[in-house]
This record gives sequence, C-alpha cells and structure tokens, in this order.
Amino acid sequence: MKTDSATLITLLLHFGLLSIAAVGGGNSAIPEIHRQAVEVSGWLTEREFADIFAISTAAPGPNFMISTLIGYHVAGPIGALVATLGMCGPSSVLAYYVSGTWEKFKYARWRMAIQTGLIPISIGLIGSAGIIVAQAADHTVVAYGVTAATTVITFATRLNPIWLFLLAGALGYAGLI
Amino acid sequence: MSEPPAPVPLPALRPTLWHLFSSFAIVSIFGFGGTLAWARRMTVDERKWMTAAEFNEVFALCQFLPGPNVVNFAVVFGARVRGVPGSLVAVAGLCGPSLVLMVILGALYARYGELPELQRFLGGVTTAAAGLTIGTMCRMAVPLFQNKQWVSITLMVAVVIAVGLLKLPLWWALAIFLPIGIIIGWRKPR
Repeated sequence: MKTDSATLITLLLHFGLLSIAAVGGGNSAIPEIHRQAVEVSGWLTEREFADIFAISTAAPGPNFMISTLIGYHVAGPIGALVATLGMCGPSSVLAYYVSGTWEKFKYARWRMAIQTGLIPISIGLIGSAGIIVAQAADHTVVAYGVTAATTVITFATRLNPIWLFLLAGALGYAGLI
Repeated sequence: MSEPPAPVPLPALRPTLWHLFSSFAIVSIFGFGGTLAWARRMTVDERKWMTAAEFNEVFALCQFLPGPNVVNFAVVFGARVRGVPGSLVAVAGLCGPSLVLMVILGALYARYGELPELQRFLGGVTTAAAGLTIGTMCRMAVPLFQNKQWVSITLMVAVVIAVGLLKLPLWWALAIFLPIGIIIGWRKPR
C-alpha cells in the first residue's frame, strides 16, 4: 500500500487519542480500533481484523500490539512504528507526570471515585471487544461452540491460553470450524 | 521532563539501564497472555527490585491511568529507579522486541495471509481468542458480583450493549458512562 504522510498522521492521531481513551488498559481500545479500522477508514476487512486480532493475541508481547500490526498493514514498518508510538506515547507521558504526584492524591476521594467508576466501564469494554471479534470470526455453530468453550475454560481454569489457540487452530486447519 | 520522580523508597537493588532494558525485553518476549503478571514476577520475585506492597501500589496507579497498563508500569518503574532515561529504556525494552516480531508477522501475513491453510488455522485461533477475551471479562467481573455491586454491574452490562452490540463510538460511550461511573464511585468509594 502506498504510504503518504497523511496516512501516517492519521495513524498517529488515531492511536494517540486512543492511548488516552483506553481506560483500564489496552484491550479497552479494541472496540474503537475495530470501528475506526474496519468501519470508518476501511483499512481492514472484518476477516483481516479478526486475523490480526488473533495474531496479536496469540503472539507473545503486550496485547496492545494489535495497533502495531494494523499500523504495519496500513503503512508498512514505518506505520507499525508510528502506531506503536501513538498507542504508548501520550499515556506514557501522562504516567510519568502523574506518578510524581500520585502520593498527594492517592487517598483522595475523587481519585477513588474515578477508579471505582472506571472498573465496570473497562470490564464492559473488554467484553465488547470479545463480542466484536466473535462477530467477525464466528460464522458456524462449531465456531460459536469453540468461543463459548474457551470462554468457560478461561473463566474457570488457569490453563495457558496458548493450548487453546493451538487446539482451535488445529480444528480450523482440519476444516472443522 | 523536569518533574521529580515519585518520593518512594528506592528498591534495595537498583537496576542499571541495561538491566532495565533486558529485563523488560524478557517480559515482552515471554509474556504470553498477560505481560503484567510477568512484570510482577520479574521485578518482585526474581530480581527483588520491589516489594510486593510497592508493586501493588504502582499497579494501582497503572490501572488508574489510561493506556496499556504494562507500558505505564515500565514508565513508572523506570522513572523511579533511573529517572527519564530509565523510563525510556524500560519502554524500549518492553516494546522493541514485540515491535520487531509484529513487523515480521505482519510481513508474513501480508504475503501468506490468503493461503487457505493459514486462513483456516487463523480462523480457528480467532474463535478461541474471542473466547479468551470474553472469559477474561467474566473473570474481572467476579468481584462486582461477590460484593453485590448491582449498580456497577448494570453499568457494565450497559457498556457491553452500547459498545459491543450497538457499536457506539468509544467517545460517546465515555461521555455517557464515565460521569455515571464517577457518580457511583463517589457515592460508594471502593
């Protein structure tokens, strides 16, 4: 894909804003990343988004690396770098400055109010991410079954997810999903 | 970048910049399914750079802040032991190897992504990745149910419906739900 500076600036702005809006962690941003990349910009098809989500989730490393892969998909290695900087930069600068003054408001009521209030929102956003990926990936009864089984196993056990990925991948490879 | 690092006692063993880089690189490379757990193991259990209590405190801060939690952790921990260079080096260690790996995987996907065999395999992995994410949500929601926080649970379900099913843009969701969440938190902190 042709890389122009306008595309890179769009990537930087998009992920830079998400960096600050991702309340409670990187995965909260997935629904908005999907909306922007698939529905608004048309950077990826639904299937490509699902594939890239799978690659970034199954690969080692922080889970926000989905933005790096999307950056690569849109604009090559420079795009990967720009998207990563966007996703980490603004929140890192904020983290640096807030950590210096954390002691002062650690026990402030407004701080606890924000933190308590963010919890259900970030949990809801992570659940939304799962639903959006399931909608993009699951087209057969077996696929929904695998998603449901993985949900239950993740909830009820401490099994390393890599085994679930390998098993589900093998089922897919065999043409069963 | 002139703010002083946080007034927290320095760890007994103070890592060098190279130690910071290499340790966070290891966390990044081996961090399957949750890098933050690996960061804890490395800083608290193995290297003894922080006590468990110190880790919990920094962790609370990183959860409070927006953005990827583990990157926030690298920034805050790096700053506490080595100032701004410490932050930069820790983040570079955390993101650098993964960035390279993602570029390689991205290139492979661009080249072979249309192969039917790979498509079938990835399709299978995605069904599990979706389940992993939904299962993680369920696990995170357990404390809300244990503490019978029905108002918070209602808010969580509303977010899932609005964002997950109705595809409301994140900005709208935050504008609507953040004030509600903060009011809930203000009335009943923790």
